[in-house]
Order: sequence, then C-alpha cells, then structure tokens
Amino acid sequence: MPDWPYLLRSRKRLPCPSLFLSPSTQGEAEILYRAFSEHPNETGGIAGFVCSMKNWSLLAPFLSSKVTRITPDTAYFKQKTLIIDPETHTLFTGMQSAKMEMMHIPLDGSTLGDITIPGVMGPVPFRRMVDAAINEVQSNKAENYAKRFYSHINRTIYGVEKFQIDNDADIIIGSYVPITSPAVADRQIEEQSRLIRDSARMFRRVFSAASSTKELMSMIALNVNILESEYLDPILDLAATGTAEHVGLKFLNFDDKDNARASTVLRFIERLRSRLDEQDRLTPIHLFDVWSEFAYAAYCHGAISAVSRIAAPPGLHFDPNNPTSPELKGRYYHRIDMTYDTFTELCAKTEANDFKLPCDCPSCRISLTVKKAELRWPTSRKFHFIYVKSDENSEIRKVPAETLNTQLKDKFARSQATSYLPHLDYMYHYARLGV
Amino acid sequence: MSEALTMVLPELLSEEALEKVPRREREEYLKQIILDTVKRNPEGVTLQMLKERLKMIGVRTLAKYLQILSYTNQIYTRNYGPTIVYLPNSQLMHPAFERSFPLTGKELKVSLLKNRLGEQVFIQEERKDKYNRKIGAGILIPKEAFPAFVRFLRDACNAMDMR
Repeated sequence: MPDWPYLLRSRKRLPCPSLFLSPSTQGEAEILYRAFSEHPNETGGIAGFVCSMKNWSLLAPFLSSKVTRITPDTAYFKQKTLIIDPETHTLFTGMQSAKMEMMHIPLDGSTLGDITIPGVMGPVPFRRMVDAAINEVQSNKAENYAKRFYSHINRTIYGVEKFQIDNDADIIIGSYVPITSPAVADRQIEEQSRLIRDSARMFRRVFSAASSTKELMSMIALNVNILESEYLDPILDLAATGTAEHVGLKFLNFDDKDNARASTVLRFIERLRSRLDEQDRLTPIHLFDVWSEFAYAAYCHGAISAVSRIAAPPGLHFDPNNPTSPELKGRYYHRIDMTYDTFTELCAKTEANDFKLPCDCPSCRISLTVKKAELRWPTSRKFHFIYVKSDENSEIRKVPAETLNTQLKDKFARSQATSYLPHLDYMYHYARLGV
Repeated sequence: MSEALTMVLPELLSEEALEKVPRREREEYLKQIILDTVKRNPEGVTLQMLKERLKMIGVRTLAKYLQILSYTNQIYTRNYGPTIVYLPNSQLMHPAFERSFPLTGKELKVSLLKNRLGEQVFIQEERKDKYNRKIGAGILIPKEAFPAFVRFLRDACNAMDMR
C-alpha cells in the first residue's frame, strides 16, 4: 500500500490501510483494552477504536484515557486512535428504542433530550419532539422527520462536538442526517450540507484550541439505493466539498453480499477518491460499519480505513446433547476460509483434526481445541478476531499498492469468501496519495 | 450600491447553531468574527458597515468588541472627520518570524507585522484552554526601535538582578 505518513494532529499515526474496531458492549471494550495492552505486537494492525456516543458511558471505564488505573495505560494503547461516532442519523432512521436512548446522552451539563427548541407555545425539549414524531402515524416518515427536525438539528452541533473533545476523541465528527430516499433527497442533501458547514465553523472558531490538536470528519450516511439515482453527483459534491480533514461514509441497509450494490458502493468510493485527488486533497475516506472483508476490497478502490464490529453477531446453536434448549453462540472467524463459522460448523470443519483450532493467534494458542475454547467461547472468539484482523491488516500494509488487488484476489480465491472476487479486478492508482 | 455590500465577510455559523453555544464562547466567537471581518477588509470598515452586514450582533456589542480589539492592538483606528475607520493591524510578514514564549497558562507571541505605519514587532498574550484560545493584551513596537527596546528590557532585568 502507499507510503502514507498521515500524522494526525494528536501525534497519532493513521496507517494505510487502517482497520478500526467498534465495541458495542462493556465486555467487548474490556477485551479490546486487554488485547491492545497485553499483546501490542499482535494488535499493531488495528489502528484504533470507534465508539458510539450513545454507548460511551458504558465503554469509557475501559477505553477512556482519563480513567485512573492501577497499571497505567501502555504506550501501545495510547497510540490507538479514538473516534466517537455521534450517530445522529439514528434520530431519523433508527429503531424507536435507539432514538429514546439518544435522548439520554449527556451533553454539556444536560442531555441531548433536554436541548430546547422553539415551539408554538414557547421552548420545548427536543425529547418531546422525538416522542411526538415516534407516535405520529404518517405514510411518509422521511418527509415527516425532515419537517420536524431539520430546522433544529444544528442546535446539537455544539454539544456533540464538545462531548467528543471532552472525551479526548482524536477525530471529531459533526452532527449528520441520513440521505435515505430520492423523494426527499434534495432536502436531506441540503440539510447535510448545512450541517457539514456549521460543524466545520463551530470546530474551527468556537473550539479553536481543540482544532489545533484534533481533526474533523464530515460524515455522509446514505442508503445505497440513492447512489443508483440522479443524486449520485450531488452526493459526490457534498462529500468532496467542505474543509473537513476526513470523510466518513456510512452505508445504511447495505448487504455487501449483494454484488450489484457492492459494486455501486465501490464505484462511488473510487469516484470520490479521484475527486479529492483532483483537488489535491489527501483527505482519507473512512467506511463505517462494514464487514472487514468488504473493507479489503474497498482499500483497492480508494478507501483508507474501515470500521468493523468485533466479530460477528451470535447465532443460535443447537447442542445435540440438549436439543430442546438452543443457545446463542457467537461465530468464529476462520482465518483460512475467511468465513464466520457457527460453533457447529467449526466443529464439523475441525473434527478430522481432533478439533484443533485452525489458528495460531495468542487466544487460540491457549485454547488449542474447539472443545477447550468452548469453555470461554465469547471472549476467546473475540480475542481471536482482533488478533487475526490485525494480522491481516499488517499483511496488507506490506503489499505494494499496485499489486494489492491481485494479492487479495489470491487470498480470497483460496478462501470461501469468493463473493468479493469480482470487486478485486480493479486497483485504484494510489500514486498521488503517496506523495 | 451600498458600501457595505462590497465588504468581504467571513463564514458565519447559522443562528440556530450559535444559539446553543454558551455565553462566554459565543462572545469569543463574535469577537473573532468581527476581527476576521476587519482583517478581510484591509481598506477599513466602519461601525455602520459592520452593523449592516453582521446583523446578528447588536450595535452596542459591536462597539464594545471593536473597542476591545483596538485596545488589544489587534486593530487600529483612523478618524476621518466624524467617521471612525477600523483597520487591521496584523498583516503577518512571514510565519517564520513568529515566536512564542510559554508562561504558566498562557503564551507571549512575538510576530513581525506590516501595517500603514510600517513594519512592527507585535507582542501579544494568548491564553489557551482545552477548547479555544483567548487573545489578551498586545503591544506594538516599530521594528527599528525593537533592538533598543530589547536593550531596555535587558537593562531592567540586570537592575533587578543587582537588587
């Protein structure tokens, strides 16, 4: 990959490519902290972690640098980049419970729900407006939300940015709204453009000292189907303009196994990268909430980093000895097959080899066999995932940029994750970024 | 066409976004906006012109900040009859001439500027917290008088040592 000496203002390095992991529970945060602190060599390929603002109070005891610990944070842990994602798009597209959770986010002495907005009878808290929007029965949800919230959403910018600065995030993300359907896309793009502008001005002017040690990311959250409409160019303009040092892309309702959609996304990334290159901007493109394997394909199309969940969500496991009580058991990332195997699948794959785990990471070295790993399955598979992904990313960084796609093709062809092969025929010309 | 329309303005935060900024930060922001506006208009601006274009700032607030800015030597004034024109004081000659001297909780910044009175050495206090920087008082010394000023400071320092 290109020699990318991207030094963040916080003096942390953003290597190319960078994989960020996104813990969603306290358990995952603890695992991540321990993996980074205890195995610096085996986690060198992971650039840092991305936490949701909504979950930060849960995750901070493990991941915040402000927490006083008996054993101080290691230098390796301190080198990891922290991003706190405000996820303000969930106010528009998220589940009802997620919206209500957002209202409890502590912002500047109160909560997001307590922010007051002008109403007909005087100021009302934001919480009440969200309640009303949730309970309203109307056919066009997106338009309804646009009408209700757009004139008020930039009141959250100050609190959202301050929250991230207070919690020592290295890259600050402004508030953002999702771009979801062609019917209201004009309005959504206009609002997002206003938010990008205001976020940047707030960051540079009101947080002028913080802006000398931190960087700004403009986030674009969009439904992939919108990229197949006439709104592609306006969205490209939206992402490529502005003064933010980073661009984040979040694709909603995106299944990367859908080859047509995946190609659309990759083409979009590629066009955005070349648009930024034409402007001589080194602005890194970050993909949020994607599978790490898709991220590898995206690295060949101009993305610099990706944010992935830690391991895959658990699936139901039917124990043959106790068939009446299925239990939730997480999937194990098979490093050779590049698949997320259920416990049963892994047992079947390893049966011929005395159930030996097909990996030599520090976690699998302790467990050795599937049966032993079962005793501490949730932690074992997550530690394993972190070490393996770090290893894969370290390998990718060593590959020369011009041959990355062919080398990845080899790797994917040897695995069972062949659905990504069609996307690896192309390699973005990274030369300009290496300058 | 009104004179005010030809003024170059910096990019402004929308009113809704600004509304939620706490008072102290908002004041600092408004001060920066006024300073930036004066800097972008090297021919000078008047209170009336600023009032017409920076509508979100009241005229008394404008006058107060202009006074602060001119007191801290970030801008200076020229009187043309009854009209006061505010002019930028800080056309930086070269970033390489900028030096800063850290003191507890603040920095003294020394830079070489050029204004209508010629080249000037500008010494300014800057306080910085986690969120923003606050510009404090500043003094301007003509460049040719600067060596003599330094000698004066050295003499003062030696005199204090002798005690």
